[in-house]
Amino acid sequence: MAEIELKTAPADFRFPTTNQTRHCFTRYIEYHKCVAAKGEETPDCHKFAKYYRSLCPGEWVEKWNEQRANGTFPGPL
Amino acid sequence: MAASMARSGLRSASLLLRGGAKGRAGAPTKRSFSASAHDDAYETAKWEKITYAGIVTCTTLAIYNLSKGHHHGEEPPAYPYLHIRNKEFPWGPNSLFEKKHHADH
Amino acid sequence: MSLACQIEGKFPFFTTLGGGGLKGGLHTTGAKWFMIESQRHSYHLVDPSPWPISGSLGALATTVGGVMYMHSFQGGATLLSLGLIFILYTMLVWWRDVLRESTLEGHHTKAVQLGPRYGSILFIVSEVMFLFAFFWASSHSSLAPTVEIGGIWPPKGIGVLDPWEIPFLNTPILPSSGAAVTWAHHAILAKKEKRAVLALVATVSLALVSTGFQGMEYYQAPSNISDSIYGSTFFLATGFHGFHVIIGTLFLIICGIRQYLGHLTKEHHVGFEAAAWYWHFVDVVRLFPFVSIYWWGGI
Repeated sequence: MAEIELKTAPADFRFPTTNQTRHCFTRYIEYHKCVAAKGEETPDCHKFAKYYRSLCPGEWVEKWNEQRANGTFPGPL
Repeated sequence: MAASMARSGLRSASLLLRGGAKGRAGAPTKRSFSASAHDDAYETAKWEKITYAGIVTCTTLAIYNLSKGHHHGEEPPAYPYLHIRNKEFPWGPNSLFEKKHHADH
Repeated sequence: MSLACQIEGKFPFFTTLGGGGLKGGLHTTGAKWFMIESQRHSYHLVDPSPWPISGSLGALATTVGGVMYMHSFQGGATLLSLGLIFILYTMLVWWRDVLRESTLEGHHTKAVQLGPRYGSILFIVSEVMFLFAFFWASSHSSLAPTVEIGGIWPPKGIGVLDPWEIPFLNTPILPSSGAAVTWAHHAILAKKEKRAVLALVATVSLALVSTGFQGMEYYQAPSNISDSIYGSTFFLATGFHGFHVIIGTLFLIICGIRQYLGHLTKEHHVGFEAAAWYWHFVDVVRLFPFVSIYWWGGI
């Protein structure tokens, strides 16, 4: 039986509290800033996607994606 | 200004305490609302001048400021945290001091 | 040794405060030195009064009516209005009684004057705490903006007022008014009654101009109280400050009228002093929202 490796985002000194809401949000923004700067294709941005996907609840991500599509995303992109 | 006036009020209180503790001899014997009538006349004239200076400054500022006019911003996108309505107000859909965007401007 | 002298010996304060000794005679506007002729002590034993209970009933009707109104119950608006009218009526007649007792009946001896002085100081301290809470809320929300508003301050889409337009214009008006009330105070101490009236007219005029500009600013403001935590904290803090400016203005108008009627003397003007303290509290507090909410909070 193959071992499944479980990994989450590494600890980040900017977000030392138990509540990781801001960590999730920041990683989401970092991913989209990265994509905006380097394009969809580059693998450089993959790690940010992994981080925010492991940190953020799915419905938040859906909501934010929708807001970005409507131009009402509140974060600094 | 504020501090000195509050002090005068508190000083009456401290005089009471000190007077009670030390008796007549130790307590200051003379205390009126201010030093003397002459000082008050001088202070009256001084603060009158300060007031006029303040009025002149404010008027100048007001003329300068209001002559510049102000600009109207664009209507922002519908961010979810703007125009929050959890339920109807008792008097209707608009908050009390809300500007009617559609009417004028 | 008379009782008067004994008390004077024990509490030199009573005589030093006024700067003189026992002075007899019934003069209606000056403070009694420490007792009035018909009693053997310097304290004011108040008559039974209906106003505490009428004020309480007014407060009860106001709160119950307010809750009913906000939950759209039938009769809520009526009860709320009745309660407010009751409170306003109580304020009017209660303070009318206090003015009669102090100015016309001479019950406010130096010993009695201590009560309203401490009361006013404690009231202002409680007001400082009240407004402090709103500045705390504002700082709490702006220093670490939540994810819901994008983690930035001011949130996107909030049209922020230029602090160097009306807010900056409005900031020196209140301290100027504070200077005018100091002018009025010294005029009262120098026994220049007419100058004092003029100074109070200047104080109140500047106060009204300030309220007018605040109204104009609110009218032009691109956001309102229901626009995110920014709008909530902004209008709560500046609005309550403006409300206090209006209260202080009413207080000063009453003092102006009393000064015109000759109620305030060099020796006895506790009401004026309380109004002046309150006014300085209001004008100093204005600097905090200007610096922290309009200026820092807008960039």
